[in-house]
Order: sequence, then structure tokens, then C-alpha cells
Amino acid sequence: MSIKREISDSLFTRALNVIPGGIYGHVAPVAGLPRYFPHYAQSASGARFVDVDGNEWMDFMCGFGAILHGYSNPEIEDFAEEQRSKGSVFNQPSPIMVELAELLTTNIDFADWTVFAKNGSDLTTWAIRVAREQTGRPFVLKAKGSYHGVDAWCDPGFGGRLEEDRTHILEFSWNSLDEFQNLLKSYANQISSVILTPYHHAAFAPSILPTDKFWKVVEKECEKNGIILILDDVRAGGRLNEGGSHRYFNFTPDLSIYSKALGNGYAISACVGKEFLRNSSKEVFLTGSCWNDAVSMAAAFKSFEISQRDKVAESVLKKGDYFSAGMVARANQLDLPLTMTGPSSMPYPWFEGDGNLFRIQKFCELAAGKGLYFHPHHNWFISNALDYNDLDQAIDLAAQAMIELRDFEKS
Amino acid sequence: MIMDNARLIPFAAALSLEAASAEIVSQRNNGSILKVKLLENYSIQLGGEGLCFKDSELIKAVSTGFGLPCFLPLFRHFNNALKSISMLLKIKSILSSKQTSSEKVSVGLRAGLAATAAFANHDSQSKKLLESEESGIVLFTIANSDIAVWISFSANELCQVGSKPLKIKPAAIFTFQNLKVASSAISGWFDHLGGPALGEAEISGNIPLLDKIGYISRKAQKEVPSIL
Repeated sequence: MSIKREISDSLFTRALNVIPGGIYGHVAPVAGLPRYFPHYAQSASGARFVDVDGNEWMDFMCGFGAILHGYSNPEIEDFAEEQRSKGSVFNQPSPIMVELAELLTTNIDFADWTVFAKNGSDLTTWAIRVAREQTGRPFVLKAKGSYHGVDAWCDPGFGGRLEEDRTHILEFSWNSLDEFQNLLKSYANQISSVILTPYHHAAFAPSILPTDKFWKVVEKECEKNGIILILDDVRAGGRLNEGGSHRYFNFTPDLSIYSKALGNGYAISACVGKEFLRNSSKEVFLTGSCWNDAVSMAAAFKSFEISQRDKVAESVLKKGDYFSAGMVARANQLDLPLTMTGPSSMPYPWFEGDGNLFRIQKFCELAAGKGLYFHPHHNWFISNALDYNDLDQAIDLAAQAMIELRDFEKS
Repeated sequence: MIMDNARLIPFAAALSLEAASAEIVSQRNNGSILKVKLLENYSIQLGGEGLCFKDSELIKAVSTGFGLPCFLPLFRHFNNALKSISMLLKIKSILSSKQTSSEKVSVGLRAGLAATAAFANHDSQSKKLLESEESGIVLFTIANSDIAVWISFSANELCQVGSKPLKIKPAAIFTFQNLKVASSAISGWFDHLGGPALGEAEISGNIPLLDKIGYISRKAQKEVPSIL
């Protein structure tokens, strides 16, 4: 397909006048393929979206993870619409807030309570403060290169930051239990929390699954040392296990944060916690003007219900297995050694020896020409709206892109 | 060595001049390189003995086109000082030209990258940004031209800048669409987020590294005055 982009470019040019950089953050064109991806989307349904120039894309990014059940999922939209007809933000929360909290605490095995916000960052930052309130200790331990949001203690940018923003943040390499335990020793009785994603899904790098003993040791050490274990399940939540990613890796956190797929495209985040943290959670101020937004809560309620009913995590993992196996087989046939890293429901493709990413960038450019939205720098997401015919089609198109890649490299 | 801004800024400016002179010498096969020597009494020597500026005068020189040199070394090594002054005038003439030429762009790019390298080597925040990176080279080119300027760094060595052909594959490549866009970049008018999105530049390879070098270069461009 030849990608039309006149309207995209025209909108972007207008945006540059009124929005610094035109588009910012993880969706900034420079973070992806600036001249191969569209700048603006017009509409989306199921596993496909149409950009403002009318190009249709088969989507493997799902709004960077915000969509799990497909775009414009009718069940979710109908349920959200019902709430929208009554109103969304009032002086008081709506009954749906209680119903959603009950649904989450019932279905997430360790959860005794829930709070809501809008973004993952709202609650990762709040959670480390709850841990500090509980323990009276200042330090937070995280994995190097992990993303926990946009706040100054953890954002991946460079500007506007003070050195003291990270004075109390300690880092260890993912899976390095030696480094982890050394930090526990060096900062004995000073560490309030360990915050980790269920597996290491850094951008621009292959995803790394935890070793067999990683979570067991982390969980045990946290318990032994009175450290609060916080699971940042913002990205993976709902994609590995319907009850939270800790169940996929068989451990239990003290606090867990969900967002992305929780509302299937509606802005909402949730933090669930164990009973012993209830009082501390009440001491750390938490609010936002539109955080009681009942429409998002309704969407999250229906989305979570569908996940439980249809075992959606299991479904996207199976589809991901099928897709990844197809991709790897085609790449191997062409002598392009490829590994689909991370869990199959959110795979990140890694070409052997491609540390500087030139090959994956070229591959994704060529795939874009075939209507496949494959991101070169961020893990992909398998939408449950993709069926096996879609996956076959995607694998075939990807294989064509691989042939072109091989020819390009030979030339 | 970490420097405070009071010294780093004139030092970065001086290194820009050295890089600009090196580019001119390599292109024209004549002239002398303005080798920088940082002196203890808050002054900087350019091109060997003869031309020396107090830090504050060097800043004036690069921002207005004129700064008062130290007289004593000037008179002691008059001929050498004249050579250096002549090179300074060449740099001024090339960079302040209203015409966009490949010489202006290659000299400007190399000078700008030299200031970036100075910050990468001696500014604490910039140095820290590159700490976690392995060694590598970022290459800046202009489409359909043979201009190629690079900045290299490694864990144990200082960042370096050059324009000789590269023997090893760069970690990242930044290609300006044409001379005009590159010229706007050296004048500080290039939108690093918007430009690539509209095709004014192409980026490939290790984007996080490019992002860091970009941030350091914008910081240097903001802090170090220029006649551009």
C-alpha cells in the first residue's frame, strides 16, 4: 500500500504552531517511524484503525496497550454509553465506583481495597508514598531502565529535573539478585518499597522475563525486611492473567497498579492493596478533578467483566503464541534470526545482532507499507479482536516485508 | 573533569572555534587550526602562543564578533597571533554568511558538535546522561551531499568530534533533508520533535543515544553564545 499522508502532515504543521513539538510523549513521531506512521488517527474498530488520510492499518499496538478487547468494543461502549446518558463527573462519585472496586477486590486474589485515578503515574507515585507512610523509610528500589511513569523520580526524559528528585531512588539490574540483595544490605532498614513491573519491558530493548527464582527471592526478601512490594502492572495487567500478572509469575505483591487495558481506552487507573496498608493509604492525599469520572469506571467494569468471562488473557496469550511462532518461522526461512521476546500477548521482536535497531526499524518501515502497524521500539500488543485469519494475514504480510528487508540488506 | 559553567562555556566556545578551524583546514588545505589551551588565569589560548583571550572576552568575541585579546602574548608572538586572527575572521565570514553553502553547514555542524562534546565531557548533568551508554558514534549527514560530521564517545575516553570518513558503523544516523534545514539547525531553529515528523530530517539507529546527544547539544546551544 502506498501511504497517503497529506492530511496527517497538514494537521501536524498546524499543531506545531500551537502545541510544542506537535505531538509529545510516547506517541511523538520521533519515538516511532516519523515518516512511515501516520500522525493522526481518524477511527478504529476491532483490531484495525484508519488514519486521517484514509489508510487502514492492522494494529499491533492497541493504543500502546490501552485497548485489550478491540477498538470500539460494542459491549463496553454500550455500557459506557448508558452511564454517559446519566452523566459522568458530579460533586459525588457514582455507584459504579463502588461496584468497580468490589469487582476488582473480589477478582484480584490479594486485594482488600481499591483506589482510582486516571494514569499509571498517578498511582505508582502514590503507591511509593503509601509505602513510605507505612514504613517511615525513604528509599525506593527499582530496576534499571524500567518505566514507572512521568514523575520526576522515574521519568525517562532529561529536562526539568533536580538531582534530589532521585536521591532516594536505588536501582539494580533486572534479574540480578546479587545487586538486589547488596542494596538491601547497604540500605538496611531504609528501604520502604520495591517497585517492579512483572517482567522487564524496557523500550528500545528486548523484553526480559524473570528467572525462575527472581520473584520468589524478591517477595521473600521484601517480607523479611519489612519492605512493601509494589507491582507496576500498568502495561501488562489483563494480558498475562485476568486476575493480575502476579498470578502468571506466581508471587503476591502488597500493592498493584493497573491502568492501560483496564478501561479499554477510557482513562482510568487503579491501585489495589492488602489490608495492612489500608490505614496508610488513607493518610496519603489522593485526588483529581475528573477522577470520579463514572463513564471510565463503567467502561472498566465491563472490560474487566469481559476479561473474566472470556478468559481474555489466556486468549491473547494463545493468539500471541500463534503469531510469534509464525513470525519466527518465516524469519528463519529467510535467514533473519528473530526472537519474539517477552510474553506472547505483548511480544517485542528482536533481530539477532541488531543492538542499534537499524534492522527492526527497516523491517517496520517495510511492514508499514503493507498496512501493518509494527512499532520498532516498543513491545507490541495482541488485541483480542484479532482472529486467527487476521494473524495469518499479518504473518504473510510480515513475511513479504522480511523478503524486502533481506533484499534491501543484500543491495 | 567537571567544570563549572563559568569556565565551561568559554571553553566550549573555544573548542567550537578549534573544530570550525579544523574543518576549514581540511576543506581548503590551508590555514592553521586554532588549537585550544585552557590557561589558569581564566584565559584561553587559541592556535598556539600569540592569540589569547580572557574568558569573558572570548565570550564577547563569539557572541558579537569582536573581543579584546590579551596584548602581551599578542605582541610577543605577533606573526602567530595574526595567523590565528586570520582564521577567526575566516570562521566569522563563513558562519555569518547569509548564503547557505556546504562549507557553512559543515563548519557550523562540526563547531556545534564540538560544543556538545565539551558539555558531554565536562558538564555534570550531560556526563551523567552518557554514563550508561556503551561506546558509539553518532553520524550527522545531509541527504545528497558528502557532508558527514560525527561525535564519538566511549566509557573511558573523552567525546570527540570529527569529519573524516568513518571506518566503523555508527550507532545512530541523523540525516538532514538538505543544506537549508541543516543550516537552520546550526542556527538553533530546527524543531527536533517536529522536523523529523515532517521529513526535514531522518533518524535511524540507536534513538535513545541520539536523544541524549540531542539534549546535550541543545543545552550547549542554549548556553554557549554564538554569532549565528
